[in-house]
Amino acid sequence: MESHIRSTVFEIFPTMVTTHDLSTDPSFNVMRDVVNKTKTSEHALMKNAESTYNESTGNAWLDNVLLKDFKYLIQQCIDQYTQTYGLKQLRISNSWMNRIGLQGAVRPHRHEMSALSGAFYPQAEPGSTPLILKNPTNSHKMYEIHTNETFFNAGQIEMECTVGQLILFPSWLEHYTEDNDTENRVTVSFNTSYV
Amino acid sequence: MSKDKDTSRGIATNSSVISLFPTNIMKFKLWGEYPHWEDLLNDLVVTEETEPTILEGPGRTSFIEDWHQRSFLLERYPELESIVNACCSNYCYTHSLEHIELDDSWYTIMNKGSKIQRHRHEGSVLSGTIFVNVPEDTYGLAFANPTIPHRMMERQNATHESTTYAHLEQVETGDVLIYPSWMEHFVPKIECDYRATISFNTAYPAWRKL
Repeated sequence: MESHIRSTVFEIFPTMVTTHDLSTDPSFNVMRDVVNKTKTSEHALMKNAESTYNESTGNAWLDNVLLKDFKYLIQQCIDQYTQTYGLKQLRISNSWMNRIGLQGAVRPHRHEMSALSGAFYPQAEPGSTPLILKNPTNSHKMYEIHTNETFFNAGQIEMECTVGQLILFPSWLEHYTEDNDTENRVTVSFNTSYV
Repeated sequence: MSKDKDTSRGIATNSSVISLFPTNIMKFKLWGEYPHWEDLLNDLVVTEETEPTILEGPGRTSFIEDWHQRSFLLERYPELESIVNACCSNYCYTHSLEHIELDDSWYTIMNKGSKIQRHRHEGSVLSGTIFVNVPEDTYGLAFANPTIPHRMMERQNATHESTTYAHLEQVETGDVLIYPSWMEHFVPKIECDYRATISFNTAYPAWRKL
């Protein structure tokens, strides 16, 4: 629509998400070997999928001595996020690995007792189901009818999972996946706590 | 989205910052579009007033709480009403919202020591504020961050646009701010006289008759 009236759009109160390509770091290949040797089991939050997550243990998958360099790499990304966002310093508090097969899915959830969470994809065949982040302002919008979906009115955003990519997001941000269409989609997830 | 290559500590990670799910407000500059701001102010100061509800301190308003008896103030100023309607259409077009029409509208004149409590506009799609008179050193409109309740685990050591409690938008006479009606907003205590605004709500045409 043409208009001669001067106008400005202000995009206020966004939710900050960062992505980091770690695929070229030498520690990535070591990490993939550990992934292949990791045993997983069923978890209530997931369908047709397995996890190392266990409510009764510390969930310290990234504390494997072979992953020291890779964990350090992730910490650099966390530091980058906290510096940009203005958060006090965070460190990884717990970590686990999920393996999702054909028709597998992760139900909507958030990560209580954590400030910042991450999802890293050591394995994700093309076409693997994306990580879906839900718009935290959805609950306010009881009276909006949209003519088409845009980046600004979307109720959720799909984050494509790419091999070697780390996604950092606020732990309070609800997220999930739809059914997976590939045989093997592996995620390493973690939470953080203040130093 | 911004891209960054961090090599400061011997690592090479291509990073992107993505600002998801912002809430959009629009500001329109009508100073040159509508030439009667002073006349409008003179008119408002003698317009009938109602009992203030969310306005605290010295000031006056024509806002009527009972939505069966709304004041429809803008209908008295068809030239301004037409321009504001165009602004609303612009917001809808820009944000892929279904077409809306102006609904209720009322004036508020704030004097020194007054403030407006935090509130939202139930039963409306978009709301707006027309700044009829903005004295120097007064406030525009402050919007409350709707994501704050989620951030119970966040301990900040610096401010960021995502985490700030409120966004204060400064304005000039002739500005119009349009924002989602669900977004809570307020005016902090002001230290001047005659901060005059006309606020309005909107509705889908078919729903107006309900």
